[in-house]
This record gives sequence, C-alpha cells and structure tokens, in this order.
Amino acid sequence: MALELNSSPQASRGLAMARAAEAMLRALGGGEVRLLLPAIAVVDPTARQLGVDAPDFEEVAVSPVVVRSAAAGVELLFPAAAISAQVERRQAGSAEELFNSAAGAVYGGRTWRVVGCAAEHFAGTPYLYRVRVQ
Amino acid sequence: MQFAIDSFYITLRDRLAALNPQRTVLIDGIARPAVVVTANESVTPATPLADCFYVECGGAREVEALAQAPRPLLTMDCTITYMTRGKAVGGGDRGRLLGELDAELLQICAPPVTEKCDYTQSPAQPLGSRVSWERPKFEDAKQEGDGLRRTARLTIFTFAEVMA
Repeated sequence: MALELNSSPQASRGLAMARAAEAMLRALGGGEVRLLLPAIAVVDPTARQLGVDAPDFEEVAVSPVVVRSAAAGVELLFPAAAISAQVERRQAGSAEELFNSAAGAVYGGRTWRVVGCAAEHFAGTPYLYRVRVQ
Repeated sequence: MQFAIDSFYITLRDRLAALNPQRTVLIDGIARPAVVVTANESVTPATPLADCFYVECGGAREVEALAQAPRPLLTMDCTITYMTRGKAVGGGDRGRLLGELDAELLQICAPPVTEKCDYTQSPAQPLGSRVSWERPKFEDAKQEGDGLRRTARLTIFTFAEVMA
C-alpha cells in the first residue's frame, strides 16, 4: 500500500525553517542591501527592444541581509520570504531568474555585480538564498 | 547600418509573432516575441534564454564589385543562436524541438527582404531603400550542459544611408 504524503505538515516545516533563517539573519546583524531590479514600467516596447530606451532599474531594499567574504568576492545571504515577494510582484519565473535580471546589488556605498546565486531548501521550501557578487 | 539592423530585427520579430504567438520570452518582466538583439539587452548575469533567437551583427563592409557606385552596397555578417532544453523529462525531445526552431527561423527569414525604416521615430519612417539577406545556413548542433544549441549564419545586404 502506497504511503500517501500529506503536504501540509511538510510545507509548514519549510515555512518554519524560512522564518527561523530570517530570525537568524536578523540576530547576526543583517543589514539592508538594495537590489537593482528592472523597473516595472510601461514603456514603448519597440524602443526598449531596439535599445533606444534604456531599461529603468529601481533600487529595492531587502533586509535582513548578511554579508560575508567568499572565495572570490562577497556572498550575500537573503531571506527567502523577502525574495519570494519580489518574485511574485515582478512575475519572475523563480528567484534565480530574479537575481539574474539584477543589474547589481548596492551595499556599503558600492554597486556589486551579481555573478551567481543558489538556494538552500528544507522540506521542499527555499529558506535562504546565497548570492555571489564581485 | 543601425537602421538596417533595426529593420531586420523588427521584421523577424513581427513575423515570429504572426507565425507562432506562443513563442515568447519574459525579459524585464515583459513578455515579447522570442527574438532578441544581444547588443540591445542589459548586461546581467542572466544566461541566454532557451527557445529564443539571439541576433548578433558584425561590422559592415563594402561589396567590392559596387565600390565605385554612387551609393555603395554594404554587407554585414549576422549570427542567430538559439538553444532548447526540451520539454520532456530528461530532455529527450530537444532534438525535435531544435528542429522546430530551425523551421521557424527559415520561415521568418522568408521572404528575404524588408523595407528599411527609421524605427527611432513614431511612426517609423521609410528610408527609401530595402534590406535583404541570404537564407540562413545552419551549423551542427552542440550540446551545452542540458541544452542543445545551434548557430545559424547569414549575410545582410543594404545600401549605405545617405547622410544630409
């Protein structure tokens, strides 16, 4: 007899881990990082596609974010909930797609270029995003 | 030459939208026909999107046979690259889907001519000449990661724009 999985407890565990991760980032002194994301604006699509009109980027503040050194550059740790909200707002396919569309991340008075990201999952739910910047 | 590139791109874009309205990609949160001029897009870490035609144009050069003509004929090499990961689990259908992309590219490149217009103005202003191109030549497909990529090459012909 097949074991029928009830996804509700699993989803609850994943959400609990996401909340715990955000609390941990806050406890570690996570600050604010501003992501440069494409602005959601109605522009002339043809002018945009021809490169006549440059896309607008808006600074989206995300916190708490922990910044730490990595092998090549810096690693930013983002809470999943804040990123999920932006993914939904911008109708991005995924958090990875959101980070890949970013022109950069502003921290410490400097704009860092996003070079990659990876998600940490628990019980099938992402709870943390590691974003490498240079 | 920019007007020629713009005209070529707009023609391919509009033909693809008419041929296969479902062939779209999401860029900057906006869905658009899956034809993109690489040089017109922002530099971001986004890897090239699957099932999308990426157009790159090289430098212009004169056709030697018409070098003495009052208005020289220019040529420009153009590469169109595209990749698919397939839709089936394991990507076993990517060969067939790449074939569909090949067919669509052939169709949107025909007829191989379009009016050259200044699309920086609204409405677009005809410039009194045409842009034409060869039928694309397809190179062998290459496996890159989980995607199957192909490059097609063609040459674009256009008369130099007369500067006032």
